[in-house]
Amino acid sequence: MIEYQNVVKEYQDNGALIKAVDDLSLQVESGELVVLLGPSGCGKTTLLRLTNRLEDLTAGQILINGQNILEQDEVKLRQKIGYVIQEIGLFPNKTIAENIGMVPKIIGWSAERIEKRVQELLEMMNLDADLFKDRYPAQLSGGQRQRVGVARALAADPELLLMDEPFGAIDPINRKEIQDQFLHLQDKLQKTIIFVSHDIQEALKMGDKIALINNGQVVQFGTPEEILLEPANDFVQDFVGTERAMKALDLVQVTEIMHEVEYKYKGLAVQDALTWFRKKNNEYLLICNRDQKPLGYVSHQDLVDDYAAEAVIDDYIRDLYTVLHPQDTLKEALNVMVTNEVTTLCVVEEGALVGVVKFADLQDYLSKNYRREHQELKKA
Amino acid sequence: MIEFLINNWHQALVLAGEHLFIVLVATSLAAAIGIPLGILISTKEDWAPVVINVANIIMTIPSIALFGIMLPLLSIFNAGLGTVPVVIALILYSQLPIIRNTYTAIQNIDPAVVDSAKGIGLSTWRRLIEVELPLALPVIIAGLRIAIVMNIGIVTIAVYVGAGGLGKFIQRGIDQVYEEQIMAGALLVALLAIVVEALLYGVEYLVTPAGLKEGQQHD
Ligand SMILES: Nc1ncnc2c1ncn2[C@@H]1O[C@H](COP(=O)(O)OP(=O)(O)OP(=O)(O)O)[C@@H](O)[C@H]1O
Ligand SMILES: [Mg+2]
Repeated sequence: MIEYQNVVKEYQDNGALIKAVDDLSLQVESGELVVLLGPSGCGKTTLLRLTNRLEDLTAGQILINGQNILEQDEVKLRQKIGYVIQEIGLFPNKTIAENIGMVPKIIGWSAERIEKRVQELLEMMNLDADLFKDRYPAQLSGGQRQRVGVARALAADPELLLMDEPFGAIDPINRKEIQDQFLHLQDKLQKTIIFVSHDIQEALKMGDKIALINNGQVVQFGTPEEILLEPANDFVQDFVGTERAMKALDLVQVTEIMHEVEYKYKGLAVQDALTWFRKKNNEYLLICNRDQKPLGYVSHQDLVDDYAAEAVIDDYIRDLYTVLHPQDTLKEALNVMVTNEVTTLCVVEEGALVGVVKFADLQDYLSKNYRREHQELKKA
Repeated sequence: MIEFLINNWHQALVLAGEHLFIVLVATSLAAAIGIPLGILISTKEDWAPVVINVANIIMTIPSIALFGIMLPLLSIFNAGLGTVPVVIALILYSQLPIIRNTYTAIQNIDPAVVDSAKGIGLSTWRRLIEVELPLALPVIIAGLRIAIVMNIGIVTIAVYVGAGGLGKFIQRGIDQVYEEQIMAGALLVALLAIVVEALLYGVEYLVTPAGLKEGQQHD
C-alpha cells in the first residue's frame, strides 16, 4: 500500500515558485492499479519521482506499506520499485538483455536465472527474445524500446511499479495488445501499480481506480465508472469529454438497462399461447423450462395457421442463438444485436433467465445520456 | 637530412623513446588527477566553472615562464632542472583538456539515461561504472589525445631545462648551426605526434560502446 499524505513539491524556477504537487493525499491499496490521469504539467511525473525519491519532498510524507520512504536507503528503496520513465532511458551501451538484467544483476541473481528472466520478459512484451536480446537500444524502434523499458522495470519482480506513460510510443494496434497482456499479467501478479497516462481511453481500460489530477491536486479519485458517470466537477466533466455517452457503453453493464419479461413454460397449449398473444398484442413469447432456463421463443406468426386442438407449443420454439450475461457491457449487447440482426436479447445468469435487453432500451439510455451531456454543456 | 638520419638512426630511436616516455608518464599522472576531478565536478555543479577556469589559466602560462617559476622552487629539492620540472609542467598543462573533456562527456549523457539508471536503483558508483564512464570514455580518450599531442610539443622545448628527447637534435643543431640536424629533429617530433595521434584515434574507436557504433537505424 502506498499512502501520500499532504504531499507538497515546490520548484524554484527563476525566482518564481512552482507548486508541482500541492497538498496531495492519495491512498493506493496493495494489488491495485491506479491511473494518474491529467493534463500536461499537472504533476504526474513529479509524484512518481517523489515516490522513489528521485525528488525530495517539500512537505508531507509518503508511506510504502506503512514505512516512511525517508527512513529507507534510497538505492535499496528504488531497487524494490520498478520504474518506467517517460523518456524510456535505456542504457545505449548495453544490449537489450543487459538492460533488462541490470537490477537482477546488482541484487545478485545468478547468470542463468537472469537469462531465463530476460527470455520470459521479452516474450511477455511480444518481442522475439532470440532476435532482440543481443541488440542495442539504437537498433530498436521507439515502441520496441518502450516495451524493453517495461520489461526492465519488471525484471526483479518488484512489488510496486511506477509507470510513466509506459505505452505512449507504441502504435495503436500493438498498444492494445500490450495493454491486454499487461492487464492479464496484472490479474496474476497483483502488483501495486501507479500508472501515468493522459489518455482517458487508456485510463478507463487499465485502471482499477483513476486519480484525476489537476494543478498538483487530486480532483477526483474513484473507479472508472464513478469518474465517467459521476464526474465531481467541470474539470472532470471536460476531461472525460463529450463522448462520455459512447464511452459509457464500454462500462455500463447490461443489468443497468435490462428489465423483466413475461415468459411461459414449455408444454403450453397452442390455444393458450394464442390467447396470450391476442391479449398482450405481442409478436413473440419467451419460453423457459421449469428451471427458468430460456429455451427459445415462439412467434405469433408461426402459430396463427395452426388449429390442432391438443397441440403444445414445443414444436414451434425457435432457437435464441445467443444470450447475454449480466457482466456484459452495453457495447457487447449492441454488438450482438447488430451482428445477429435481433432487437431483443435474454440476459442469462448460470443458465437462468434474469431479464431482457431491447434495442429500444439501449437507444433510450444513450439519448438520455446525450441529453444530459448537452444540458450540462449549455450550463457551463 | 636523410643522410643525418641514416647515420644517427640509433640515437634518433633512443631520443624518440625518451621523448615518448616522458610524455606518457606525465600524461598518465595527469589523467590520474584530471579524470577523477572531471567526474567530481560533474556531480558538484558549483565547482565546475572554478576548476575549469583554473585549468584554463594554467594553460595560458607560456612554458618557458612556467619553467622559470618552477626553477627556484624545485631547486630547494635539488630538482630545478631535468625531468621533474618537465613532468610537472606537462601534468599542469594536461589538466584543461582532460578535465574539460571528462566533465563535458559526462554532462552530455542523455539525462533520461542517467535518470533511469538512478530510478531503477543503481548507486552512484554503479552508475559511473556501468553507464556513465563507458558512454563518456571516447570523449575522455579524445581529451587524452589532445593532451598527449600537445605534450609531445612541449617536451621538445623542455630540452632547455635539461629534459631528454628529440629536442636534443634541435638544440644541438642550433648550437652547431647544423641545419640538417634541426630539420631532422623537427621532422621526428612531427612524425611522433602524427603516429601517436593516429594510434589514439584507434583507441577512441575501440572504446566506443558497440551500441553507439552501430549507428542510429531508428531515429
Ligand atoms: N526540475 C524542475 N524544475 C522546475 N520545475 C519543474 C521541474 N520538474 C517539473 N517542474 C514543473 O512542475 C510541474 C509538473 O511537472 P510534471 O513533469 O510532474 O508534469 P506531468 O504531469 O508529468 O506532465 P506531462 O504529462 O507533460 O509529462 C510543471 O509545471 C513543470 O514545469
Ligand atoms: Mg510527465
